[in-house]
Amino acid sequence: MNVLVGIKRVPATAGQITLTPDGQEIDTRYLGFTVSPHEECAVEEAVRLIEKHGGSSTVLTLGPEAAIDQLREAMALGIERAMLLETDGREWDPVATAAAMVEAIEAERAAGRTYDVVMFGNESADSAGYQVGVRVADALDLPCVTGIKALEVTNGHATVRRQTESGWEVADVPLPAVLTVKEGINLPRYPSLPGRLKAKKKEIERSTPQWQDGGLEKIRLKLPVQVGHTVEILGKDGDPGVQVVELFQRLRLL
Amino acid sequence: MAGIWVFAETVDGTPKPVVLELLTKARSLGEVTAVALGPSASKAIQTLGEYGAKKVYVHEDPAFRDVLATPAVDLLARLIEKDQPDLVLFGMTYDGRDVASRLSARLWTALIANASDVVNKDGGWAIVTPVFGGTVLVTTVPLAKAPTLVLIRPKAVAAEPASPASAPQVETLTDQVDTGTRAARVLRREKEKASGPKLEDAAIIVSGGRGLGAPENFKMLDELAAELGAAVGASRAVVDAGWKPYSFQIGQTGKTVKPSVYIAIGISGAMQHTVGMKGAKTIIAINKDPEAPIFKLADLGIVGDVHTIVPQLIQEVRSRKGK
Repeated sequence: MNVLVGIKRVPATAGQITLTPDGQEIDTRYLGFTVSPHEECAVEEAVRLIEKHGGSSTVLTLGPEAAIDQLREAMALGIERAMLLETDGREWDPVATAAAMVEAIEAERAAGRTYDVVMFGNESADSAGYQVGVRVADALDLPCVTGIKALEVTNGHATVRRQTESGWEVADVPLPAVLTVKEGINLPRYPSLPGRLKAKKKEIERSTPQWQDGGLEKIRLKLPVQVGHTVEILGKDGDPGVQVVELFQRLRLL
Repeated sequence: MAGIWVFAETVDGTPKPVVLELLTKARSLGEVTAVALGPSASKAIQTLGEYGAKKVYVHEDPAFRDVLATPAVDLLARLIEKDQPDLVLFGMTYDGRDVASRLSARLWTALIANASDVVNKDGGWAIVTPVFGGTVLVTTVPLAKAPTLVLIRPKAVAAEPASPASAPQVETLTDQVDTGTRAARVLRREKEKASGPKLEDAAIIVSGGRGLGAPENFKMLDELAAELGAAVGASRAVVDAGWKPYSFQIGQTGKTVKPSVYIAIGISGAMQHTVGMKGAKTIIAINKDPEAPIFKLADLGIVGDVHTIVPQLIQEVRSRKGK
């Protein structure tokens, strides 16, 4: 079987976020970059599918040239091919992103490469639009299940489990299909040193997509006001027993 | 008056809580129509009216329950073409997201996900979306053709019944639902077996991090939680380490919680964790490192060794309960 995984380069969110002076973009000059956690799990799941069923795996991203780092990380984990849809560094909205990915997948099909499973993370760590996977599915007229936490493939069908507000749903979906993966489906492996070295030498297939307008205009980004806050430390040098009693008196929890 | 639609998800005829929040918001923006789909959906009509729906579309075909997203998208697309509403609100639930995203692709209209508010602006709408776990707020104005689709986060709006409430006009649909063969079908649904309160609903949460030192030390937290009637949570670090399953994870890629009391035990307080719990009314931190970022957020702190303090805490609770 053939599996395609879509990923996104996102700022490492533990860092302090600052905005550009015009309030239109996140100032990324001092930020580190990574792949969203859900997508790390999608990459791992794709590698496992191929290990189990044979076939080929491809990773796809839309982003600046620097996103090659994230493609190589995926290849270091065992993905074979990588494709970069190169942008000028602007943040593409989900409509434009999905349209560009659909075009790339159709070009693959024209070149004789079809995919049984197209996988994404459930949402990205930065804008969390939850849409790219669903939009790609609709454009390609494929069924789609989002937020999956378990995946089993047999006889051209996938059985997937996903969490809902009240429990779990188990669904059957005929392949080809789009599946979006949620963190927790697996524990991603660490890349091996030979894996990293191999990934470094691999070719990245590059193309430059055209932006297709989805009709949204961003007015501005705004940092919320940071409220000054002080913690009250209970009897720092005291006896922990006394601290605990004091805590309960404060809270009148019981 | 602007036509505001609400996708009214129901479970066995009861609207999901977020639906009542959406209706409360919707009626402040215009004339509200609710769309309720699936078996027993008609049972929800009265409640939908009480929260402000003037009109309700109902279709009770089981396909809306058994096939993911696509039947609802097909029907909504048809109704929207016919009635041309200005705005359609969805709850940010699993099904709400799937339906809204596919509908937006189908209608080629704008969708804004993860919104916390919608307001009138210059005769149109401005939609507020928190990103980076709420550290940046984005305001978006849709320019595409109507309707604008908006996914609103649960608990972003407080649900309040309309006064005076009126019985809505009801239109029951019975047209054939074609699901096709290439669809994702639900085989079964399982209710989660929960011991103690669910994290999302708990009034008190006891949450542990790396500072506990070893997975077996989580047992202290289970004991404390049982005494307090609290739910147990965990930071991503310990979930990654395999100490607790993902369902315990609180934070950016886990659950968002708003308890009255959040007790963070051995949690350093990385941003990825705090975005999931900073809405707690009172935050108590127990950590041996006085410089840990969690103390910048906490209301009450104890600097000390969790292995000494937590057992004393359990003992104290027990003695107060007269055990």
